[in-house]
Amino acid sequence: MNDDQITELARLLPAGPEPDLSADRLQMLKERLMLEYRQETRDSRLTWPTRPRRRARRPVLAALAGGAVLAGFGATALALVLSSGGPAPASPAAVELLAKIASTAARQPAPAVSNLEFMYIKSEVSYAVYNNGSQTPTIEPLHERQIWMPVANVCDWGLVIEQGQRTSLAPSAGSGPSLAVKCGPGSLDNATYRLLQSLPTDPRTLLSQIYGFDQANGEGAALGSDGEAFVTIGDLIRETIVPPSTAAALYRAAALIPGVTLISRVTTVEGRPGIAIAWTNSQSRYEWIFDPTTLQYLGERDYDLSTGRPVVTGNAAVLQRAFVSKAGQLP
Amino acid sequence: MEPSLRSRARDGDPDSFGALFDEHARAVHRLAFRLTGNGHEAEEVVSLTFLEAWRLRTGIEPVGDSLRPWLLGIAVNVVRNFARASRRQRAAMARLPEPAPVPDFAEELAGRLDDAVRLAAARAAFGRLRPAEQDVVALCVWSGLDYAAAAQALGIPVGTVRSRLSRARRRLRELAAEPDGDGGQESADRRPAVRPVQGGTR
Repeated sequence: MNDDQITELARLLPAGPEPDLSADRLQMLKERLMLEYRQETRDSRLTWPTRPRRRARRPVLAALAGGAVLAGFGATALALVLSSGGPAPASPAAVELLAKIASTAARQPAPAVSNLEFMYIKSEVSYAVYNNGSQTPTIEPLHERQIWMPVANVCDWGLVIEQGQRTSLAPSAGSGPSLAVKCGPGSLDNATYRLLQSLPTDPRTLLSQIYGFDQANGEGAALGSDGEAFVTIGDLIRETIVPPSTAAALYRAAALIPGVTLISRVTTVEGRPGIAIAWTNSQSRYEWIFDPTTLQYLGERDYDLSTGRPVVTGNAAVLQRAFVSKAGQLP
Repeated sequence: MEPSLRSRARDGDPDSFGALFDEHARAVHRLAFRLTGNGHEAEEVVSLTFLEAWRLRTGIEPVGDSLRPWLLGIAVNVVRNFARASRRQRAAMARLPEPAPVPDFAEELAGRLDDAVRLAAARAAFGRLRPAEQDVVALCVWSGLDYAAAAQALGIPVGTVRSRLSRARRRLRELAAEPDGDGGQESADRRPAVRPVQGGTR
């Protein structure tokens, strides 16, 4: 039916050995799935969208070999040890600015949101692509990214539209041998609005929860625990809608992270002037960029410092945040 | 049998999904393993694929052949989703330019070095295809779907499958013809064993 193309491709790309998957293991996977199916059938609260949606694939970030493996389990296996020479506490200037940013954030209105709504965040992003073994990244062109994340339950799947591709967001199955997907408010790396509302507002308690979460999830291998905590907070403030009191707590918690500094003059990827809170070690730098007068969050920029010359590895400028009633709906 | 399985699956009968799992889980796993090079992750992909399938069940056409293309299409999407998830992973990636799957494969082939080298070269070459090309290659070459089924799985026209495959072949030929390929530094003293293909398509 198909022409010789397949034959030739099969020769060029041998599939390799059959993967090893025992009947027992397969049975275990099946049982867990059956539990999920049956539970949902019983639980009438969970009504899945009835409209079929043609799902498109996401463009892969890097050559598959690099990208796919690192997701999920890979990161823990990297175990790249960075020397940590006891980083200094956050600089006084950074602490002062974060305090101002926190008070500004705390004064924002807190909208009333229903459980069935979605957080919508539109941004312009470009990230580094490390092509199959290449040491030097190429940066994607700046493009729009829209994400819808559920307000209350990660099993109300979110959605990403980026570069014309729509991708549903699977509830995190977590890492490790447990494969059960946990419905509910999610976790710090997959947060619903309700989860954010439930976080402690005492900065120290919150920060220790974040360190604990990163540690339990095997994060920290790449950046060290301080850097991971900064990145965890940065991911939340970039691509969720953080309730005012939680936002204030997150910024106050960031002020407690060693290695945090202020960078007084930066430019966003769109050319807007900003002031940045940064976390830096010998390998990388992450910057959160704020409007210098209103102290509103504008976006993020990341650098790879490992080659001696800073190389930008990520840009994000947030354009819009809103609650909408469905994934895929515009405000 | 399949048509009634389809309608039961559409209606959300858990047992019909159990039957789908029995029939297709290994094929999904095989595809996931080849796309990720990682056994653990391939299992995750299997779980997420069957959960996503459950969620999308009302989109199942009432009549048709095997649901395997549909499931494999979902699996491809799940893998892509994984690969892109968050910047956190990108950060980790920046620390690890050399991808891990090659040793994974090589281990299994200990004692068969030529095969391992050839496979590593093939994977490196595969990694240099565009994502869209990777998807059709994985489905048509590794999972054995025909053009129509791959088109259905990916939601693209058959002509697009064909043109992506032919682009993939062209790129792979070029790669195979490069003297040292780009399989990573280690391969410098082991020539990739993917043979340049001479002549045309016959």
